[in-house]
Amino acid sequence: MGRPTPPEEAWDSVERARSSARPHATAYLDDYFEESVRIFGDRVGGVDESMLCGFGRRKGRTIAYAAQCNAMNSSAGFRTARRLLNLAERLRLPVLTLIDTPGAGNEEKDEQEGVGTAIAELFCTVASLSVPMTSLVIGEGGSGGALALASPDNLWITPEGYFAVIAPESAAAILEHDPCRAEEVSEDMRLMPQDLVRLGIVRGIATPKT
Amino acid sequence: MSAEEESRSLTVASPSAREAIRAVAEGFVEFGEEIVSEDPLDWPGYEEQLKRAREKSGEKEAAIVGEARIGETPVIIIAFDFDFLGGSMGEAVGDKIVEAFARARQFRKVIVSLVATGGARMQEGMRSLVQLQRIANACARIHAEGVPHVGVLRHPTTGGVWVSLAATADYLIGVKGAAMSFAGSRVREGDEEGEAFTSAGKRRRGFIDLELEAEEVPEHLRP
Repeated sequence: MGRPTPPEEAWDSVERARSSARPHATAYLDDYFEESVRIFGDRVGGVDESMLCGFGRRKGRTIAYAAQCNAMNSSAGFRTARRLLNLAERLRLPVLTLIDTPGAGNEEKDEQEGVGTAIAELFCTVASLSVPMTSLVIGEGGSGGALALASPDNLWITPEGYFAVIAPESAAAILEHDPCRAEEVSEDMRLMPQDLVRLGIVRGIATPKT
Repeated sequence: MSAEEESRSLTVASPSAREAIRAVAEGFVEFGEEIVSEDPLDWPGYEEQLKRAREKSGEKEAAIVGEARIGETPVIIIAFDFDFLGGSMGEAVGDKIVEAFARARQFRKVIVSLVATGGARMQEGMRSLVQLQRIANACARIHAEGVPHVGVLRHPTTGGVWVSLAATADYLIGVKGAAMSFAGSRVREGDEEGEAFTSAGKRRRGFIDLELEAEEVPEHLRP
């Protein structure tokens, strides 16, 4: 799936990750699993269509998955992912997460619904997981809302991905008082796949061969 | 000014870590002061910014940790200094927090955090962001040991530190008027003041336990 090598320039990484042309979560899930069953909802009244969670079957094994669909996930999304991880832990199933979000929802309604607390609790659930967890950044690694789905010691990235502590536009707004200088600022941010390998953030770049 | 008068004039709302500590606790003995920031991304101007931050705040880093007493109770304190690069968290602050949690576990002491921060430190990029995972790991370990964590959330408490250190504490006190959110607070049009992005909004929806004026916090923490 996707391209075999990462780009040379930081802004190309950002553009590739934001492109509708590269494979998204459903393409990966359909390609990887022979069949799958979705779980739905956070069980406290919320639903996030952009956080796909469930169980997939591949070569006789069942794997729990949580996959982001390149949207700003809501509190419900993070709580659903947490529910999925708790299920995987209880049923002793390995976990696969696909990371792809520009960032968590940042509207008033997101704060009212406790997006920060939901993300914090997801981080803690990931930290206490005893089943194996593998994570792949397939597009935008947008700060905390992306890292909350990341395996602490088994994180990979595709050549189309980037991972950043803050969106380049926000960094430019803070540093240069001009979000339009995002391209310039992105070069300092070390957000490309090869930067992330060098910084020890990811174990490697997942190419179509691996 | 007598010692008593001095302690009454100190406030936990201060951006200064040491003043906030003195407002609530006695006998503070620091550890981890040798832990300071490096420059993992080779960020332009970062070394200079660190130098200026040290001059401005008088601290070597954006958070200090140590042992103290609140009343008769020995505690481990984590206090952020907002004058040091906006209390932002890079690797050094992450290291200090992890060390504080480890000592709290080892000596079975209550953790009290006095938070004032804009979140993860941009100049250290993803090395800052992974501190959120390290703190979550430290958190999971103290949960397993039954060690409690009380958080006093000063102005502001936002970003990556809100979603790692703060929001997972067992008991949360918001200082009245504090900005408190994952996203930076936003200016809204019209009458909407964005209460959701403040301590009051967090208390209204039950994401923190209590909201107090700064001067009420010391007494509330005493057993």
